[in-house]
Amino acid sequence: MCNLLAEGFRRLFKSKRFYIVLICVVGIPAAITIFASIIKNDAKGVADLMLFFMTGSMTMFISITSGLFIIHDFKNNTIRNKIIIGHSRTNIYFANLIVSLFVALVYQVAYWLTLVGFGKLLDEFEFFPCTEIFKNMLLTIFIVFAFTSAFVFLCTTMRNNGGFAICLMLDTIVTTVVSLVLMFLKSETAEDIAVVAIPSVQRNLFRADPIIVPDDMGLMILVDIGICVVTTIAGIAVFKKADLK
Amino acid sequence: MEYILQTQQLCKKYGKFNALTNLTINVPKGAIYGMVGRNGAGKTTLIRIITGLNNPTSGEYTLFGVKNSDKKLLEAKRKMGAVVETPSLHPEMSARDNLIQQTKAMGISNDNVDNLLKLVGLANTGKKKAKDFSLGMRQRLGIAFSLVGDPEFLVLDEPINGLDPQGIIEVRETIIRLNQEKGITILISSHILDELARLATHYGFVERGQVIKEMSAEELERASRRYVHINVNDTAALADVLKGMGAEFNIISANEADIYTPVQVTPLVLALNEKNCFVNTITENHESLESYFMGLVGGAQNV
Repeated sequence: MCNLLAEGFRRLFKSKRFYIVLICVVGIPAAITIFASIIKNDAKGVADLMLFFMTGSMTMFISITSGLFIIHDFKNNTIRNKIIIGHSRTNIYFANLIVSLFVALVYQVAYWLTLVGFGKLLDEFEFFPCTEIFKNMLLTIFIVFAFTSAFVFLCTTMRNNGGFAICLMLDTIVTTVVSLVLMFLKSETAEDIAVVAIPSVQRNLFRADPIIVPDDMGLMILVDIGICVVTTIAGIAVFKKADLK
Repeated sequence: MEYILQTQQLCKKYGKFNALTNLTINVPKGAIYGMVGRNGAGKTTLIRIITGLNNPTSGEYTLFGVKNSDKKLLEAKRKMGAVVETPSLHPEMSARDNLIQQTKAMGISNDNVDNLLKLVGLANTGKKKAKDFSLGMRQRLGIAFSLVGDPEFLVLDEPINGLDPQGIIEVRETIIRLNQEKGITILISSHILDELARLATHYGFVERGQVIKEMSAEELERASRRYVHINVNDTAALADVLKGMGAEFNIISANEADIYTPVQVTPLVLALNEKNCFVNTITENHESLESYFMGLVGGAQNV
């Protein structure tokens, strides 16, 4: 397992994609806070708003790096090299998952650190730091991890660009489907379930108002962990039975 | 005899298609085992199964004496290296970086990487990325990849496909050197039977997902028919003489013929001389691996 992680992290750090996406992730909050400070000199709170406004886009950035990290392993057939020398498929899946979760964590933390840095420097924060925001940050990490686990599942089971394309649009697809279903059902119970059980809906609760902490935050975190566990178990089961090229 | 790989009644189905049907092979330790078979015969499927890329539908195999159902198989597979069809490389990395990547996956030091690059003739590729390599260079890097970790068993699927004559010679010499100097057992599949005949010490003839015959190179030598290839100025006269001698023969062209029955050269030449038929050349030959294989599978076209 350690060997697979060493191989995976080396491959990650050797790829330009990781750094290019990181520059984008860091560049967006920097540019927005600078832009906000130039055009709205006396307005505060832009940086607070930005703390969770980008969570949907963040999943897209993560999918670019972690999705292609896995897909390229299959497309270049380099996954063979690991299987041939006796690494189990379970370990290979876990190694890919850990590398992907690391990417998600690095991108999310880098985004927040840049935002906090520029926000403080340019005096664009109204509420940060406060307990509510830190709680929402914790929930955001779990939401992002749930998405990342789904990316690893999709890319490992589909093993082609189609899997990557779905990952790229997963947040949009989930949001659209859930909205349509809820609109069709017109049920408050269904709405309550969606709020707790769907990461894309979870983040909408505090996306535009960072100091509102969802009532069921604990349950939401458990659901997100559950998504990670279920997708991982399902992903390993499918991968173990798959015939590779 | 000690065997590195043995399969028993191995079957693989893709939907309704039987890729392997009760396939049984035995690869002896220290051998260069040549798998001979036409397209779709099941050679690559077998290689994919023993390398762990595909799961068998039924049957079993043992690698280094460990059964495929045994959890210790993963340990045994660390002693194996393989190139399956196209080499599996990281296109954005140099040859050296590619091999270091594999040492990381194996958890071993990368001290031997430069020696491996030298062995396969890629020591001077520098920072050139694998995506810019020629087919021959990729193939050789693929072999180097499979040699990381000093394997005792090497599986090469069509290793000379697409190589130029120089590349074929280099790969052939590398394979022979690995077998003779390092004692690595090699399982090799190839369509280029003439090339395989220069390498293999043992053969397995695969047809429609089954091994129809296994034999050593010596056994093949004995089983292959000897014949005399003769070049004359008049094959009609030659045919008359050979008929008179009761020999089995085959006229190939206006000047060439193969004689399968052992004949004494002097009486034959004297008899031909009487009919004003002059002999240009006479050579004794063995039936080629290709001819033997064709005879075995019933004269298939697509080898």
